[in-house]
Amino acid sequence: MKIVKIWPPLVIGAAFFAAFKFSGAPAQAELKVMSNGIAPVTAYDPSSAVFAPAYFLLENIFSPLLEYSSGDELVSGAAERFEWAGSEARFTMRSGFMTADGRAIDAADAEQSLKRLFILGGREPDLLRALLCGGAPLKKLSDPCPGLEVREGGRVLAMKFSERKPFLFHLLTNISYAVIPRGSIEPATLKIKDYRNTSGPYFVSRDAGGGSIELQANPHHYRYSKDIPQKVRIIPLLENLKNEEALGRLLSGKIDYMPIFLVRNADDKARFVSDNGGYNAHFSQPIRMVYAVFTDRGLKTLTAEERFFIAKKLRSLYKARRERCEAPDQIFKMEGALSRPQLQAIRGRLEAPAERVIKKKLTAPGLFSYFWGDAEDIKKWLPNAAESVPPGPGAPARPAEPDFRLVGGDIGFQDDVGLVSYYLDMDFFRMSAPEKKDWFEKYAAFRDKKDRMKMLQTLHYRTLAAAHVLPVALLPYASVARKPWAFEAPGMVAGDQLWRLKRN
Amino acid sequence: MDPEIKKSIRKLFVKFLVFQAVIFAAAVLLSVVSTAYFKQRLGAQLSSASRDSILSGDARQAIINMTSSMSRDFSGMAWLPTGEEQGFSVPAGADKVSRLLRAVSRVRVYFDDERRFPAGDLFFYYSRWAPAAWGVLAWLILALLSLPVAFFERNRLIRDYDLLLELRVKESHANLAAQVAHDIRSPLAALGAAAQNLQLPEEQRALIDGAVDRMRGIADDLLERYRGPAAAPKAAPGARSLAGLISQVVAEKRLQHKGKPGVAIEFSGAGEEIQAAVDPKELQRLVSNLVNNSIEAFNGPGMVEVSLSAADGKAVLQVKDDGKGIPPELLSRLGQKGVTHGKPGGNGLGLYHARAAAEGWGGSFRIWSEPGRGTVITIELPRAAARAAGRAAVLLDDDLLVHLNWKMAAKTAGVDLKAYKTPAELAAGLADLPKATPVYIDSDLGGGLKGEDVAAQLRAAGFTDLTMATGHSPEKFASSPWLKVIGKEPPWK
Repeated sequence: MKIVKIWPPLVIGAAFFAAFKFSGAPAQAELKVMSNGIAPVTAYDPSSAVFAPAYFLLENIFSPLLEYSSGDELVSGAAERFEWAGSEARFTMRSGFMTADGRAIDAADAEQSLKRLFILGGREPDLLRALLCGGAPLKKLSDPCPGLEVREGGRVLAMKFSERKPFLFHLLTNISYAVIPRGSIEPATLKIKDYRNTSGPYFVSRDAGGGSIELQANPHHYRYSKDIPQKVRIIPLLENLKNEEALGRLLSGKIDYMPIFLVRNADDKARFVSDNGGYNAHFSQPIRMVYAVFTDRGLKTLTAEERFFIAKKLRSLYKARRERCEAPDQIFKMEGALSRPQLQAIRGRLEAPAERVIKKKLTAPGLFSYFWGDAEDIKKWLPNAAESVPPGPGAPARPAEPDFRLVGGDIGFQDDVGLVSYYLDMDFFRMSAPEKKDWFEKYAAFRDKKDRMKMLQTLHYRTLAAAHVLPVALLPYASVARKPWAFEAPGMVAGDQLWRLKRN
Repeated sequence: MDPEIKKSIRKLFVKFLVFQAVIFAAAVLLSVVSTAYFKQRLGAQLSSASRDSILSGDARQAIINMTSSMSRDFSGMAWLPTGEEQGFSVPAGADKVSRLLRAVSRVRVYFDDERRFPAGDLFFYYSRWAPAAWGVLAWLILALLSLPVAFFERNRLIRDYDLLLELRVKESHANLAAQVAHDIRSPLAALGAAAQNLQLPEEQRALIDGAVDRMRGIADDLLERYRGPAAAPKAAPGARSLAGLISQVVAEKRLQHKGKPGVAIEFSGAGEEIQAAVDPKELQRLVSNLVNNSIEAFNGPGMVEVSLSAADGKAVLQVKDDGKGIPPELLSRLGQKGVTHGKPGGNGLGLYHARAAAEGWGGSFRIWSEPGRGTVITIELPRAAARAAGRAAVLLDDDLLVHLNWKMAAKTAGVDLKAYKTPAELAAGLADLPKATPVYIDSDLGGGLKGEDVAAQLRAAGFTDLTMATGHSPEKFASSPWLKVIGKEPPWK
């Protein structure tokens, strides 16, 4: 009789428990993310990341020695302490830091990752290699590098310089310098062979091909908590969708997260979140610079004042079409900013009142795709502009070099060396390879940042004054996540680090 | 200046000083604490701005940042990495200045955003005494602002004290007057009683009685004014022989109006033993007012006839005159408050009180009048049974003069009064008395003995008719509702 009485509450309680335990929580712990990366996971390597989808994946599956906090401060990453002792930089690795399968990650992993990067090469790695390992290039991992030393049984990594390098710690936040566990690298080819035992908050649990990748949280990682997405499914975007169509995937439940590199117009994302409840958005500071880069052909076809005129018109068009847009007068507003007279000179030319119609035949890839619906307006002052030479009789076998391009880039670098290196690689300053090498070595050799800034300022002004590159718009990056996910992301660093999402 | 007011002003001054000391301490403390709080916050902001430069080893940049940011708010800063003995300071040696001169805000800097791994401490120095100086300045302003208030308070204190002194003098006079009034009542009562037994012509007796009554009235007035209306208890209405009371008034009126030619005042019924429950003074005032009204209604000679008779169990008092009479249109309204007739400057209170008193005693008040013929005022009161001769009463009072007065009155009223000075004597004398015997007790029996305590004991012993004969107000005995209260006058006439 008594058993009969306690049955109903027991059954109801169990039903509630089951509903909570088995239906609600797992659904909230998984995050579906849209990406336009379609390569297999083995194509992604921190040493060669160029495009946004690669940065997105790598920043989630690998961790560098140092990171930026949500307050944009330099904080511990894989190294819990980072400090200078004289001219020696010391990194004390996190204790208990392991891969998903429980392999310890220590200073030897960090050392090998650096040596691997030095072997694979690159502008900054070459610079660091020269400072730490001497002039001779490294060929294999076993080659000595006297400036790198693992101490205290793998707890501490020391980098021995001839003098302090204040840019070093900022530089090491770049995903290129991520720690890759030794066992995950093929020593002969230096390729990453194991994407399960990684150093990041996530590891690759499945690569279904075509860009469809599944990630799982690494419970041994220092950023792990039950409040971050436990499982991530990367859904490849295989079609060319308009912004509203892409955002519609959020509404239909096909995805839970729209990264910064898809639907780049932050206004569209803001409007979506405002119109549809149940989503959170994160907007970075305006650190996405859109600029017009004029090619050799463009420099020949167009006079400098015509180039300034094109930049002026595009600036006003951007300002009119984007609420969150600033019209910049220079590219590097923070590091290497122009002096007041320089700025006034550039501004005067960018804002010259004279109107003109440039009837020359011009090609500018991306020109109209940046300005949906504004083609007619552009045609009024650039009547013969096209995105490319249309195919047909008389068309060249190889597409001709365009006259200018509209390019978007991140200027939110916290260190000037990384910033300069990035833009040198983009052929931004119109220098030959030896000129770039010379310039960068001279630049990095200045210990005093003031001297470096002077050098960068000169190069910056020269580039703008010659109208090789002209600023068009300064915008924020934006990403959208379905609630309950909320952002704890920095404002001055662009990225889609999913472990910065917290269940609210 | 009066020493007391001097003392009060000194107290006020001390209070002002204590208040200023508290304000001073609070202002300095608040200034120091709030400065420390805001310096700490500012230090945290500066530390956040320079943290990355310091951790990156770019001390120069940190120093540049600090020098430009902190110049106004801090005199120096120092960075000390965790576990190290030396860092750097801006300006050099800023951390060496004595702690006596410099206060410090300390901000801990961590390597990680979870604040688990300390990297070092940033110390921001500022003058220890500058905030205190601001506190002193704030206090000075407050002190200056409060000075007029202090002077105002001082003047107010002096003014209040003057008023208080004046009040005390008045109170002292009032107490003296009340005391005299109170103390004189017993001798007056004795004098009045003694005069009753003197073989004097009627007129002289009336004159003495009138003088005694007037003095008693003055004493009552004084008591009423200075102790409040309740201080002089009126005799409780009890069965009184009306003829004696009225005769007294008539005699007084005859004397009063002796000089008016042709005016006669007659009283019939002086021999009647008619009793009614009335307040004797109130009745005499009523008769006096009515007789005066009648006389004032004469243009020349006239006759006022006062009569007392019994009819249908009622005592009937009539005051009749052959004066000019009252117009009919006014007649119905007479006896209301403020309605008067025939008396220049009259306020109508006499007739109003007469009506109110008669009705208050359970009786009625009527006026008949006809212009040219005269006026008759008839008051009918419920008649009380005459007291049996030989009834007994007991008095307990330590004043022998009161004994004398009461005994005379008792004799006149045919009451067998036994008077005792102490409760012990009383206890001895009560043994054979019936429990219904009225017992009158003074409230202050001397030696700290209270009459009400004796009354309580008597009640416990079974006595039922207990009355306080006292100058105190009935409210004082409100906690003993079984206890009646009358004045010091004998209850019999």
